[in-house]
Amino acid sequence: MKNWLLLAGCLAWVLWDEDVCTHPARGDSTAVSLEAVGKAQDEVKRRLAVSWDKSFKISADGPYESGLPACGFRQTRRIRTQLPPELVGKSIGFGPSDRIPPADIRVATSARRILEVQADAMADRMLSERLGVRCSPTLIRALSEVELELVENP
Amino acid sequence: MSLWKILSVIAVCLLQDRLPYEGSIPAVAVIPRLDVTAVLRTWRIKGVMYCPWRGHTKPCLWVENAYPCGLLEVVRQQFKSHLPELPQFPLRTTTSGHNLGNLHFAETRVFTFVPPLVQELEIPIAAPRPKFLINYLSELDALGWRTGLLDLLFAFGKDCAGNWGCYSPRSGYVEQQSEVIAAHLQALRGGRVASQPFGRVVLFPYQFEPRTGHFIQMISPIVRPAVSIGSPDLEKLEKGNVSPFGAYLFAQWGLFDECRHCLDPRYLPARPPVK
Repeated sequence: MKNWLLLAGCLAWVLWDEDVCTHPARGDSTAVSLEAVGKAQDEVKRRLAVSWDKSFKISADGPYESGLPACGFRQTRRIRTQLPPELVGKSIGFGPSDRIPPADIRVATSARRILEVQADAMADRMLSERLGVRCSPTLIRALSEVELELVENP
Repeated sequence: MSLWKILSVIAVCLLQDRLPYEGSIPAVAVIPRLDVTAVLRTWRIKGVMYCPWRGHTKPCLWVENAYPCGLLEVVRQQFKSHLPELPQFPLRTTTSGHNLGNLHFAETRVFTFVPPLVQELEIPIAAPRPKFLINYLSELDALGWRTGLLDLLFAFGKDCAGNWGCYSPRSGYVEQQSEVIAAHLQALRGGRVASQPFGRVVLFPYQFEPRTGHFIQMISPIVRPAVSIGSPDLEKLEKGNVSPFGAYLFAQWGLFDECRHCLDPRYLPARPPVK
């Protein structure tokens, strides 16, 4: 008897249909074209994919050129400038990526492909001016916290 | 994090070459994850301008708002990326990311990422031209990112992102109790290096220097709303946002102003962070 009651209860619960909540439309509405949205998304995807490919070629495959002219003849000069103690006794070599003079810190002044740069730093205008570099290749030695020796075309 | 979770993560790492986050977010998939409310939250009218346009005078609304301009990635595994588009780079012998006490080290990447406006909006919005570039990969800037040696030649002011930490030294080491806040700061420092190289190895200078008061949004491991850079609510920033792999992807939202046909989009200066 108990089982029959339980079964009847379950059937009543399953068959009971809850009222569907309805909300009347208010104001103007415009139908959304899912097809148009899909097409727009595909277009954005395509443009970004093309943009990525192009950008990678520009930013990584491109050459690097600092604009420093080539040194004419060997010349040694000294300049006075404030240097951090961590750099004293260290050498810094400026030169084209494949011909940087042997040094503790190697700075590339140019490279055929920026990704292939085998250097610790790039010779941008700020760095070249800070160290008084006029041409490439140049080998710098930090003699003290206030003096640098620059050997052009070493 | 429980021991069980840590062991699961280690097991996952050992069982597969690719980490779960690797290649999981194509650049296109970032767009639907962007917090578009950041545009509306920051949108304001600065005035009205009149300027000559095609033979007559045209008025324009001078507006200011945030707009996505970059992707900043922080990872603890070299040359691994959320973005599947990142091509293979020549591997170099350098140290990888790690934590040591409160000292966090991670690799950082910077990408210019200005998505196009998908549809014409009724309201004018300040938006730079769509662009996508790889700007900086800290793996290629080993000396600078690991030692900060060359930065010692230049005087960087004490510019800080509120109580998140300071933008310099511009290296991958951050002393910070929270890995999440450390990741935010490492991302911002990477952006600073890419925008002002000063001799650092940068593939392409980044136009949008991360600035205090502009916005940053976590995209991975969890999509979060954009927050003001330097926002004092640190608890909200870090709560539940830790990545089991120490890998984070952020969208940078710059603040721009523009008056269409009169004033091109301009990248605005830093300002106090908002809550």
